Amino acid sequence: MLNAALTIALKDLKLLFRDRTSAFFTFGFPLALAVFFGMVFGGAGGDGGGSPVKLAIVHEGGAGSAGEIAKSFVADLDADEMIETVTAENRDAGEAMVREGNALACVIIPKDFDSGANSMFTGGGLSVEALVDPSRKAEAGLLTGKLNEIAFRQMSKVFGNPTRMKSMLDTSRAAILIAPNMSSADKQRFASFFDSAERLPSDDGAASEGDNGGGGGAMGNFSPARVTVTELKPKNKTGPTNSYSISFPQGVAWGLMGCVMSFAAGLAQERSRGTLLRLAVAPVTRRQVLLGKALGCFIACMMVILLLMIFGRLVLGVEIANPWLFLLATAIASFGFSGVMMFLAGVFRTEGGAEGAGRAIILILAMIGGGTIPLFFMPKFLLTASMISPFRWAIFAVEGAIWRGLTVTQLLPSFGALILFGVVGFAIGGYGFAKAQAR
Amino acid sequence: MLRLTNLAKRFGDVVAVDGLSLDVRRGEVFGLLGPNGAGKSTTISMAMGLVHPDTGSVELEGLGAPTDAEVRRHLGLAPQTLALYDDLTAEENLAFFAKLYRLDRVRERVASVLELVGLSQRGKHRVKGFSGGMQRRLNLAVALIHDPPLLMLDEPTAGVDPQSRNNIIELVRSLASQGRTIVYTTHYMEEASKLCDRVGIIDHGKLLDVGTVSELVARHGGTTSVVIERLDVPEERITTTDPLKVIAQSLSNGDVAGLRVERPDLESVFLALTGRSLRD
Repeated sequence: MLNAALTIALKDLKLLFRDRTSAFFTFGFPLALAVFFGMVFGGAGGDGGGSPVKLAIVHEGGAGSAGEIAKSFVADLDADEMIETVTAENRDAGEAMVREGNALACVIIPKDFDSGANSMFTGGGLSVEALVDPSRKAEAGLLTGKLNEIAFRQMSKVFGNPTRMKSMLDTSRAAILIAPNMSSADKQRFASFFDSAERLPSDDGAASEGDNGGGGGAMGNFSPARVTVTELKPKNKTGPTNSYSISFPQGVAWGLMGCVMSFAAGLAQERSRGTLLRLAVAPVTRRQVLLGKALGCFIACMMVILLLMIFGRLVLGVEIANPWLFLLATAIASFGFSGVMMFLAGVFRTEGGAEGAGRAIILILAMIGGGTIPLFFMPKFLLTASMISPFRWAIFAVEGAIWRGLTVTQLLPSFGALILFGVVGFAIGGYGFAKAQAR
Repeated sequence: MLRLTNLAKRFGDVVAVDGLSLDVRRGEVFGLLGPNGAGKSTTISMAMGLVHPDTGSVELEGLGAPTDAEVRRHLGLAPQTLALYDDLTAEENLAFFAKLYRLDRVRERVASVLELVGLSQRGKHRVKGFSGGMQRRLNLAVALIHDPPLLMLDEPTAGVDPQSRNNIIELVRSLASQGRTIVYTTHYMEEASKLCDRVGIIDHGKLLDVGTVSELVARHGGTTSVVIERLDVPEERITTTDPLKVIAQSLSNGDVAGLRVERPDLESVFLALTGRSLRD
């Protein structure tokens, strides 16, 4: 059974390589796109427009123990139309959300967040840590600015609250009195400043937003807010992640699209040109013919993913954090897309149907699945819609293995979705094929 | 060798084959003659096990129905459509099918079949560069790759130039002389007359009659006519069983400008059986 299927598969692969246009769009074009997008992402990226970005919020002391300023900080984040927050139980859970693509960043609010407000003139200040997805540098930059802005807004609220202001100034006075390396003149200047600040009217404009101090001289220790951004490194990975690690999985999507289209159109061509009739006459079963077709597509999909990533690894330094998981992801994605090919070939039985309607469907699936527009640029409804696209799951599975540092368990949803696409595609495609043959 | 019993097939409202029964004898070249759309290709498809008949049965002598993949090893089909991979070479096309038939010594077999169809020099060329006649010959070669005892040739000369047609006819003759059984569909009566031991006339899915060409002509072709042309007089047509006698009498009467004898042929048979010309 396998011999006949392999013979058919090898013939199809030979035909794919003989047709230069198909071969280019299957192998060359995805590579060109991956390199191009890698250069773009490596430079600037976009403006992050579209849907609000999701932030995982972790209160290090537990959400219940969060102070007034911490609560206000999160409330202000939530109120921002660019941001949507979701509470994570702890740092690990928050980190996992980022790695799995369920959040742009994880914002860690330390236990002593509120008390930092009292020591802003003595090297303290509000301090948060943001763990960001390295694939989303452009958004991470915007996020840093936004976190600073909201942290400063908390300081503005502190300055506008006489009780809290007094408490903060008292703490600062006490700290400055015992500061060993501060001259008497500086201590005097701070004391005068604190006195003046205490007499300020308690309106919200008391401290201007965005004034991050940072001046020299006596104000050198004034640091009202500090945002530390840490890029999450893949687990078990030592090398750096670069922009090509993001663009090459996108290139994989295009390669898979090329394979699917070539093989779906190829099957329709076999039907219209009579060679399928010849296969039907030969002493091979319909199952062997279908298996051969699917096997050819499977091998082509594997080849395109592997060739792209090998090129990325050797020429552009794309790291593959977990090679075995990457191979598993490659095999499962290839199986899923072989099923997609079978579906298209079973439903669109003419060359025109496969080339026209089939290509339109697959192009839409690729677009909403992140093959053309990165997922983070998409509005929320499109992100939800991307669930129906096998491209989304394939890109995520490959990313999960090469730089997201995901485990097999974490990739199970992606693997499951791809296997489901494969099985359903084979079932529908096989049924369509049998129906056409029975005529 | 091949028995078709009461075959019928409809495609929607169209009756493609209507109660067709036929016995093809071992070693004969059997012609299925009918116009386009008569049901020839559907009959062939059912005989090959590719299309399931609505009623009736197909059996290969001693082997069973061709719906069984192993039974189909004994059949070779050259479909009307050129069923070839354009981007593969002639050798690659043949080798691919040889492997599907699990043949041993594929290379030798490919070379031998290329030789048989006169394409040895073009084995390494891609099919897309072949002329129509060469593609037809390769189409036939693929049907021969596994050396089947029964060959089905569906309009094997469709769309080729006269020289290529003669080549193919010679090739079929040569295959027949090797003892193969051949079912040959065509709408060219000259081909059927030249090649076929027996001919079946098919129209609207019905097999109207079967016999040798001379039997069919004798049964349905009518008599021979002698047409006499005289100066300034319309030509005269005389039907006769003894054309020589009519010619002699005409010549003895003088003033004959021309003479021709019109013998009945398969065209006349078809006209008599269906009421229309084969070329309509």
